[in-house]
Amino acid sequence: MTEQIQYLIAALQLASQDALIALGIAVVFGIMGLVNFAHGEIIMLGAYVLLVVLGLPAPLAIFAVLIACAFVAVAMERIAFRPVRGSSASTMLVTSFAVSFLLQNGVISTVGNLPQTPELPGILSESFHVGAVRIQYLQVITGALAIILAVGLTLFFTRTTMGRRMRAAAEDLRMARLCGVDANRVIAAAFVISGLLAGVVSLLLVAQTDLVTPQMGSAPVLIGFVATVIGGLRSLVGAALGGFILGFVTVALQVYLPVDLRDFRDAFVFAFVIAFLVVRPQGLFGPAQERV
Amino acid sequence: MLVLDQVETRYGRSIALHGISLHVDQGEFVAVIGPNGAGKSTMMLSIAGVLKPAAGSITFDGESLIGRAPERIVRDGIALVPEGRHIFATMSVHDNLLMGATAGRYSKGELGAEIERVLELFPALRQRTSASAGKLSGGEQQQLAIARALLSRPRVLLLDEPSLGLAPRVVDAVFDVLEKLSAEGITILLVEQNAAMAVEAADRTYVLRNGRIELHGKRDELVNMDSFESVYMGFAEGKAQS
Ligand SMILES: Nc1ncnc2c1ncn2[C@@H]1O[C@H](COP(=O)(O)OP(=O)(O)O)[C@@H](O)[C@H]1O
Ligand SMILES: [Mg+2]
Repeated sequence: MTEQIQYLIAALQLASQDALIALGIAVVFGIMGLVNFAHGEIIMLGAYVLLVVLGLPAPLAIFAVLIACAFVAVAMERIAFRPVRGSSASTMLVTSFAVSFLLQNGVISTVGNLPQTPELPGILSESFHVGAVRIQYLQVITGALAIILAVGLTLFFTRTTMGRRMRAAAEDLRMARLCGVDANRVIAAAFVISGLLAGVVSLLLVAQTDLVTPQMGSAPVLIGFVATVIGGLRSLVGAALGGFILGFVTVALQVYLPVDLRDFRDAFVFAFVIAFLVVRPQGLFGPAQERV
Repeated sequence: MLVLDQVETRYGRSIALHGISLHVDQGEFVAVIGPNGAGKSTMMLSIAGVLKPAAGSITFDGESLIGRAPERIVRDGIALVPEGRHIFATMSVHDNLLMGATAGRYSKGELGAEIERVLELFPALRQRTSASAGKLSGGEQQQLAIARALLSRPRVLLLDEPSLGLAPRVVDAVFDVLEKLSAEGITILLVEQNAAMAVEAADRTYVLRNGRIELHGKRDELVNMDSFESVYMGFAEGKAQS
């Protein structure tokens, strides 16, 4: 029993993290139909910024990372994605691969390819016990952040003017513009949110692995993309849920696969995803009805 | 007020509008009728800034609209009710109306009263402001699309086939509203395949076919014109109600 709860807590942590990654990708996809594979490099750059600001008081360092990630996201949109806005999905996809490649190699050529291990505050690796169950502070922080961000985003999208405009733009960008919504502003807002989410994930990943590498964004962005597909691409709720499910499946396979198959865990994860998409190609929250 | 001069709009290589010219004066109700594929929607989207003409000019109060973004044009006072309505189906009726108000430059407290005023024209919507817009009937969605456009406080209202897919009784209700709006002084440019009703409602009508204006006249002139009869009969079989 204790062991099961222990796994459950680990699963919740990974699921929360995957949900945040998926949300960061979905918020941009929803509004401009772009799967931003360079989202992982925003996460990666955030981690390198963290290395620089590590000496600052924690709140200031966190703030700096979040702002840096938002900035990178917005700059990316202005420089790389705006010129191809409205192009075919494949053009935008190739552009995002190019940005991803450029940023990763930019970091490799300037900072080097060696993994770096920052000195993090000790509390992140400490844990406490509830009965026989051991819980890391980082697990609590991750879960709490996922809940706070989910509630915060829900309020933002349903209660604020900008949130409403973004929802309208995600549903029908042309009509939103015909209503007077400034396309540049809603798209920039989507990238700001996406960048902030990437910043949070960046902090969580470094806190968890104590490792900063130029490639650290690649695996998360793949997970985020798959989660978004499971969720049905156009729905933020779906994306978050997709990330959550993916995190759970990953931990479940890690725990219950026979030991000699565990190295192939990710292959099983993707097999699960493919099986899911065969049964439900539109994802959990795919287009419920054709728009009239 | 709104003047199109030799407007030519293309989709890639194919030309949809071959240099059309027309004008709508302050307070006028003007209709453009034409068969499917004539270029009516292309014309509306060109005015609203969604499509950019390759040649010719579109001016509003003497200022060129060409190259202006759609969000800017609606703020300048031209609102489009597009073909197919394009209501935000996942949002509530009320949120759709708020979206319409985006370009309306409201001061605090003013918006609620304006929504009330617009809803007086559409009693069916008033009961259902918290309903999801996707759940409305076709007629109600069309009314919502018009109400949404009105909340931008336009000086010119562009309507692209508002009768499309609606039952005759509902079409009548929509046209009643248009005539009411026209009487209130809003300038209207209406595009229709439903020629009989459009000609009847409008002060002046243009006939558009294959991307060219073929005919043009005031209501009384057109109704008595032989050539109009033939053009109109050419595409309106079964649609004419008289
Ligand atoms: N998105 C598009 N791409 C290419 N051709 C188009 C497109 N939309 C319309 N057309 C063509 O332009 C012409 C005018 O179409 P449209 O303006 O929609 O006519 P109407 O609204 O009068 O039915 C038609 O020949 C149509 O096939
Ligand atoms: Mg049309």
